[in-house]
Amino acid sequence: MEKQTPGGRPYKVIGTRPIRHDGEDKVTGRAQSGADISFRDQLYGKVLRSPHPHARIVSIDASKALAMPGVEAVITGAELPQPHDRMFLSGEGGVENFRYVNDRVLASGKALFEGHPIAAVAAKDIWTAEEAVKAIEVTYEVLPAVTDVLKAMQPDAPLLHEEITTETLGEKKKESTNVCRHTQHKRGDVDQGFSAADVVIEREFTTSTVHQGYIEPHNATALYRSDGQITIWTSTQAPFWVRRDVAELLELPLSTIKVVPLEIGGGFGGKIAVYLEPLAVLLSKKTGKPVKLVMNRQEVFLATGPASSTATRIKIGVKKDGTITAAAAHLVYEAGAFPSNWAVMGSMCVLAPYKMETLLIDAFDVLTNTPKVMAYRAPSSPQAIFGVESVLDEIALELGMDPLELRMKNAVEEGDRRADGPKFPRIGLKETIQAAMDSEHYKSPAPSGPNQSRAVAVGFWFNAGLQSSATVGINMDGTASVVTGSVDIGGSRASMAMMAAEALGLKAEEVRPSVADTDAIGHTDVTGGSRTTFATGMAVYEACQDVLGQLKKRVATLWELPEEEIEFDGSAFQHADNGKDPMTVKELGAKLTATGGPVMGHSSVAPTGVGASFGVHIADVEVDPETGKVTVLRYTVVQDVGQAIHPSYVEGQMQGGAVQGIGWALNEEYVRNDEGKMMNPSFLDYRVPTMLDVPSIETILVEVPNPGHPYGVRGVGETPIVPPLGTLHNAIARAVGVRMRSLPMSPPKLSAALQAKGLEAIAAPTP
Amino acid sequence: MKPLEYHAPGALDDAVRLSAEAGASPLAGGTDLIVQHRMGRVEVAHMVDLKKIPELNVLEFDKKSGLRLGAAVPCAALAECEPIGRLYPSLLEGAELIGSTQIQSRASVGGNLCNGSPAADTICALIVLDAVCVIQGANGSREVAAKDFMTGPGETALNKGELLVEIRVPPPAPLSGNGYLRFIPRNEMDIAVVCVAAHLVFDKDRETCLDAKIAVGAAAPTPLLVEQAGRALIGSKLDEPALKAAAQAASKAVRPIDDARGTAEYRRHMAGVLTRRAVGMAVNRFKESG
Amino acid sequence: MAVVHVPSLLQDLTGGVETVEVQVSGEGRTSVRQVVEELDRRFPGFAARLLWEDDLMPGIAVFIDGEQNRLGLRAKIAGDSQIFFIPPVVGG
Repeated sequence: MEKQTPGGRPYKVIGTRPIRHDGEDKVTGRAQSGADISFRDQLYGKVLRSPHPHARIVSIDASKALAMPGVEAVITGAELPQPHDRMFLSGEGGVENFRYVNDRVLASGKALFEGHPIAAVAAKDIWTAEEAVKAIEVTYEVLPAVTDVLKAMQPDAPLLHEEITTETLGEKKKESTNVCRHTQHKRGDVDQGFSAADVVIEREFTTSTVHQGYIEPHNATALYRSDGQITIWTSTQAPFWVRRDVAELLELPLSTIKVVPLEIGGGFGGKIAVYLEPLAVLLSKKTGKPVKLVMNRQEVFLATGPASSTATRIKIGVKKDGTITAAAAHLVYEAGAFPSNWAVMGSMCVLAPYKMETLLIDAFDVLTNTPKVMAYRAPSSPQAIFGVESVLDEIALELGMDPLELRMKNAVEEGDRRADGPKFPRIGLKETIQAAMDSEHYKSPAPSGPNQSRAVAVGFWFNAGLQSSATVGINMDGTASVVTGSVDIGGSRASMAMMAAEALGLKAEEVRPSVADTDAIGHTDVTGGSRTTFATGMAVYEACQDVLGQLKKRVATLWELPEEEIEFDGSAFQHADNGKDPMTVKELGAKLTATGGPVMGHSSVAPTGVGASFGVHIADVEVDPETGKVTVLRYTVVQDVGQAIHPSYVEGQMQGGAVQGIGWALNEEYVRNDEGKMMNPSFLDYRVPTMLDVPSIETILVEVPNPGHPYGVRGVGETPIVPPLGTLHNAIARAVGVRMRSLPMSPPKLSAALQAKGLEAIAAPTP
Repeated sequence: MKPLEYHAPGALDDAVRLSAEAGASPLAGGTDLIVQHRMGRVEVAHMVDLKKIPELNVLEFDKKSGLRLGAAVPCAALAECEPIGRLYPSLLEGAELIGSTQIQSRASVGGNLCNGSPAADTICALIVLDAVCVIQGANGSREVAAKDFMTGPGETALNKGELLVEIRVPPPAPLSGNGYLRFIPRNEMDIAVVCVAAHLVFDKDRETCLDAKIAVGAAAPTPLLVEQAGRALIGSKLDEPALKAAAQAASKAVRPIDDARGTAEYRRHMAGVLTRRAVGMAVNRFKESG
Repeated sequence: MAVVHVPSLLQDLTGGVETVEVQVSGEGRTSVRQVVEELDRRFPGFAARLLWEDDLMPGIAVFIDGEQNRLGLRAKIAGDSQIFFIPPVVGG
């Protein structure tokens, strides 16, 4: 299909690569991030955190801290309104109960994870605040902690919340447990499906807790004015959700709070929930001064929201020709210290890429004495799909089949049912697999040196829609301004400007995009779920249509012709059979005052038509059998990206996701000691890949436009983190004949597995 | 963090006197100390900056007496001092692995030693090169062999009020080669899981090993000079049985722990693997030197 | 006839039946609420497990023909609609 606009014209701006509008500020460091905000009379806050993963708080005595010169306020959980049950939509796609947000922000009664906030201090400077925190005396009754998901499921495991029982659909069990939710998807008779198979393989997998690893730590500065009006400056993916959460926690109307989102140094799902914002507001209320809190890296690791560790069991049955007859998945996900829906998400992703007549998925969310798990780029999909892709790799070897052929044979396409039920709309998995097969990388000879190999895996993410608002203003010279409520994390200013330019017949440089605070634009949900270019882009598109409608009236006035006879052809307003020269939006700018004044369009959308995205990754690796160290020799990301608005930033998303997935696969993990305390809360020992640890990631954009969006946009940001886990696992297995089935495949673990197998056997791998 | 006083004496005597005060800590590049202080791991009331003291900034080489390396000389300066890369490649290799380029412009070899980490990147090379640490205190100066400088994790042979002034490294034997390598899971910005330096001296036949020193770091409370590993190589032509024996000796000598960077079992295994590889590096260096 | 795909954890109420057909009175007039009420009549307890305070259970959304419908119980269905009750998705 020829790529074109809804009007059937070739794109002029979309698909080009202009310099991003916020590029210079970010490259030079001039961009204002949350921690750059400062006020003349500002106080500095610091949080006292529990050193214990599980402990009853017997008493808190802040008198010594309050007596210190320069200390202006101390708050504890007692300062928050009493917790109440109220459900809300959170970054994970499910719901959370505010009762537990309250408890997470400041502990009440029990400390449930290492780093759990116990109290917070405001003082004249950060040094005083740090000393004051040390002066707060807390008496703890240390309780046994559980940080392993499978141990937490045991009947004799330490209980985190006495009141929590297992919730299945609408039904609550009676016994207290750490298993907070059971989810199930079923299709047909799975036992019959397996008995119809020629090959059935069942394997168990584990993955470790991993963190998003954004560079910028969490921060919040708040001013609670004496008239009750509050302003919060923060780096967040979701300013409107910060406003909602603070309003809910402090029982205030939304209209009393303004949230100003500053530039954000990475989020990946981890900057959706509130941590410091309510504390800054409470401390400002007590002192009457602006209060600023900034986490250090240790606090980020201990007390924000990493991704679940998991224990999964995957069983797949196939016919000799590779057709899947049945699949079963048993998924256990770490929830952290408060109820979550991560296993729910995993259950919906685990078998999504493949069609099958029978399936059974059981998924369990399990409470542990660890920070509450939050969203991380395609949340829950990587851990679930990792196991499936590994089993499929074994099946391909067993059948002597090309691994991409096996996937092609079973790939879902439009009209096939997702594992959780509904049918897929137009999707591009088959096109993506084909593009991978046709790629220079896959066609080139696989590396054949000792302990080298190549492998592939598939990934999937739904993408989200939610709600967005945008305004588009035409300046008096015919250039335009675009204002949205979507924080720019991955280049959305550029893509918004480009979509507006495409719609209005302008150049990308003639559109000035900006991100507004919560007072200045209509409600806009999170920058996350790969929804921004899709949904906020749709709001921008619709706002442009609003503008064009108004401009058409101005042209009609100018030309003294009926509005109905005038058309906008993507470049200019035209009249079919009148001698008028076409008039561009640019030209109209100077005539706005004379034809009725300024023109501004606006739109708020809650779109359906979200397009899911699939990817295929190809990796060549080499394993050092003596050290267990893996070198990624070559890596290619192939993905259905719908229509790429700005291909450079789409490629950037694909590369960034792949690198995070590579880190997840090879080295990243929360290392915990016997007491459940994290031993590596720093970027020195929590090893995200550096530039020197990955090759230049190659990208192949497969463009299957999403019919649900005027410009064919599909979310692209999340899918690329999914395949690397399986891709690298399979490549290592094919290189040295050891299937780790446990992440990370770090040098100590891989080396131990290789030694157990015996180095002689590695010389001639038989995967 | 509590407030602290910063001192930058220009004379060694003043620095020694200031360092003897309660809560005083000497400061060279500060790449360890300032971070530790900021994280609350150490409490410092007086930071005594040593970078302005001439004796700690010496960097000179003499064919007879060898290298004099002032304790405050930044790692980046080593690469610019020609004989170091040629004669003491293991030392340069270690210095060039400490942090990033920016860090190396501040961090010093002296500070690397005084930090007392068993995983320090320069100590193993200094041990196998027979380096000597020159220490100044209120009552005069004394010398301690590099192999005895570290006494435990975070602990050194320095008494309170004593300063490391310079490191002296004798000129290596004419027919010799040395090398250092560490293992890290990534390729940069990391701390050694295990590290090994090797220094080999050859007979005139250019094959028989006359002397060998192997030092292993990050695998015991202090870096270890593994004499058994050296002995396994001496007299051999570095053939397979000798290499195997040296690797086994290294694995046997270490006393590693489990921590966030690796398991004890893995470190024991890697001590052997890296010993072989470090010996290989030293051999290549010797061969390349003609 | 519209088809309701019974969530597997509610199939204890339907005796293991995975899909249930429901009569749609007129194009665009039958709501999801009416469908749930009809199912509750046929499989007592169905509504109690799916509803919470006059809305769908938090964490459950209605998908009609592959699309989540935010109107929830108020959403209208067509004569050939495929109806699912599953969690909505956001992401990171």
